[in-house]
Amino acid sequence: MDKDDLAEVELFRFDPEVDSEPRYSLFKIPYKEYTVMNALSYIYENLDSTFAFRWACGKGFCRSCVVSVNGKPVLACMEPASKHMKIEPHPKFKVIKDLIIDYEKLK
Amino acid sequence: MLTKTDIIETDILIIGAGIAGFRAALEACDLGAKVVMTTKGLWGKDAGATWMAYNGYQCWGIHPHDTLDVAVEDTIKCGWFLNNQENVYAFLAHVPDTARNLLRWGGRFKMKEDQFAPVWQLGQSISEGRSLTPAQWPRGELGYNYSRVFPQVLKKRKVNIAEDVFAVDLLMKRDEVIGALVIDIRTGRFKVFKAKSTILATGGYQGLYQVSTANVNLTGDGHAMALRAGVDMMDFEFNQTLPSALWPPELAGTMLPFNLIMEWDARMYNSKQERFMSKWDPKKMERSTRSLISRGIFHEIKEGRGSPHGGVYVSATHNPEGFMKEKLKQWERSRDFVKLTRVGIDLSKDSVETGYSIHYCQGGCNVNTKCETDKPGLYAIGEVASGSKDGSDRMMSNALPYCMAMGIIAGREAAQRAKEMEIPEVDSAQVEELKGRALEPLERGSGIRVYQVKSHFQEMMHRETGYGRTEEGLQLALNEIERYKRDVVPQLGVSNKEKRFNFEWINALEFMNLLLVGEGLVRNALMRTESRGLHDRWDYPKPDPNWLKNIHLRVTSGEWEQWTTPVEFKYWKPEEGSLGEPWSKAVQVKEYTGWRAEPLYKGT
Repeated sequence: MDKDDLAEVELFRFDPEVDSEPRYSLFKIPYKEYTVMNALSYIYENLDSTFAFRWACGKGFCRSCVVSVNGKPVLACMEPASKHMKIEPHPKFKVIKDLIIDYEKLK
Repeated sequence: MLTKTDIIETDILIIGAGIAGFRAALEACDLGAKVVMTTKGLWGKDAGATWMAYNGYQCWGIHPHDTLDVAVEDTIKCGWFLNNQENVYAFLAHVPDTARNLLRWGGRFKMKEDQFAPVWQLGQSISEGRSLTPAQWPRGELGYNYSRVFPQVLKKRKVNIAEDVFAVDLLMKRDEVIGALVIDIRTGRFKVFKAKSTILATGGYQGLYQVSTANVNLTGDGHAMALRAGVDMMDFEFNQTLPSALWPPELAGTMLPFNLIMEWDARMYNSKQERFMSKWDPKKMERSTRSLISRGIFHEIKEGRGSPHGGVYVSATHNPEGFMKEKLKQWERSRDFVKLTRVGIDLSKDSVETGYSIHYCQGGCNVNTKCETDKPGLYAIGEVASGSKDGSDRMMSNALPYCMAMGIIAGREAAQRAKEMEIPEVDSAQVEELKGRALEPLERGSGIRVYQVKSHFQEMMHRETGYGRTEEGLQLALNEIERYKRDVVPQLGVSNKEKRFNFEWINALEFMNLLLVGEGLVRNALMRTESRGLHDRWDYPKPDPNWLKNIHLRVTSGEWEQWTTPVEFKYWKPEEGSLGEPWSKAVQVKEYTGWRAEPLYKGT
């Protein structure tokens, strides 16, 4: 595969029940005209399904896929994927596991 | 063995927390029952279709001349006369009261000079329209309003809401339903709910197809649980589709093209620039029924007159400049239009590539006017309950009022039943057996991952069981499903070993549910040798008067049983010589004398 067709993803990993501090997993995935949610699904379905990520409607309604991409809070389903993405949980909320946050609890 | 904390006792268990489950929880709680409501995701956010509703809430009685009878007649005509008329009357009779609920909770509908300003929707016979629309439409869709209002309403009540809970199966005591076995997705542990009454409110099975206007996590879990419990189910051959965007990916599956047709008077063209709806409904054209516009799109694509991404074109460019300017201004901040701007589509010049995607599922439990299934203790409401309330095509804007009405009815009936009985005893051998079955893919570990097979299955379902169904294609689909059951299911493995939030495991269980529901759909579609409403057979293109009947099915020890019941034309019948096709006249047979809510126009 041509290098130009790849996207690099740094994925935030943290399970507060087990880990003392967060770490990042690195993935190289095909880069296409798709959304951050498509990129996360690609990783989940093809490379590593052990990370926790919440998503549902895929159309910007339900707000369950809110994440932070390169420091900016976005809805993963509405944000076009880019070639370098650092994907982390929304910074304001407490992390339950990996990208899944507790909407009831602010940090 | 289950520890003590894993068993929860309740009067009423509601599985599913969309608008139907919510309304049932509220009703039962206000009648003093102890209620647990579970949802597969987060309450008021994801899991379900309610939060994605657009702008229509059909409510008769806004005008003095629009009565329950007119609303029922319209509904039956849209359903091509296949509806269970007793159910349509019993459910729609509640609708003005449900609108009063919404108003009391802070719902704001569009008004004009102190009167409701309803919108006209497809199939409504009164020109003023009957559908309430949100005050801020198009910026504040109904679903968005619901997601703000409903959680506030339940906050003041003692309803136990269990989030991130996947229901595995119903628990039975002989023929009676006594609760359910579930998985708590947050911990990966099983839980048993022991309930005096159980209400299914799990929504549809849109996940059978790849693109949905609703939510792909609607995977027919309630349908599959009911099938495995041997419940009488019906109408699986009718799945409602809508024109929806195909391209770009950010817009895929949205109802934008359909909204353009309804609100911007948009037109549909094929690649030869022909308005193809003239072949299907020369009078109403794009404002025909949902079944006919989807059929029109399908046939253009199938016959090679489609767009590059495999759809047709929806365009509003014929409108005068002033109209376009005003509409663009009004819609510029709406969700879909922000996306349009982002991808560089200008509606005053460009068209939108449009396909059709699954919107609503009409197959479900055969319920009576009390929302009871044929299994004591089990009620079903909303999409998972058919009762043939929709016939062969659901009328636009009827879904949410039906959900609210059925929620009221089931909540009341379930609470009444709970008063008359003790908490049932659960058979632990049954629980262990069901747990074992659900654990199989997880314990197998390696094997076929659900993601290797799911999209193939969905593509196959879209191709063979969408529109233009043929005996050959349906038989192929049935063989494929048999193959999946034989070669894939026994080897399904979950590579993920995490206990918490193991969605790969849940997705594998959902896939098995979809296979079961898909089989019911194919079996019914094979049996119905005519085209009616949403069931479009290439080899039987016309409606057949001998098919004014519903197809039921039931699974008993793995064997499928199918039978038909003729429609009872108790209140309305098609006029002499009619086959029940849309726009044929209905003739009143008898007056409905049952209870009905006070109409809304007398004062809110």
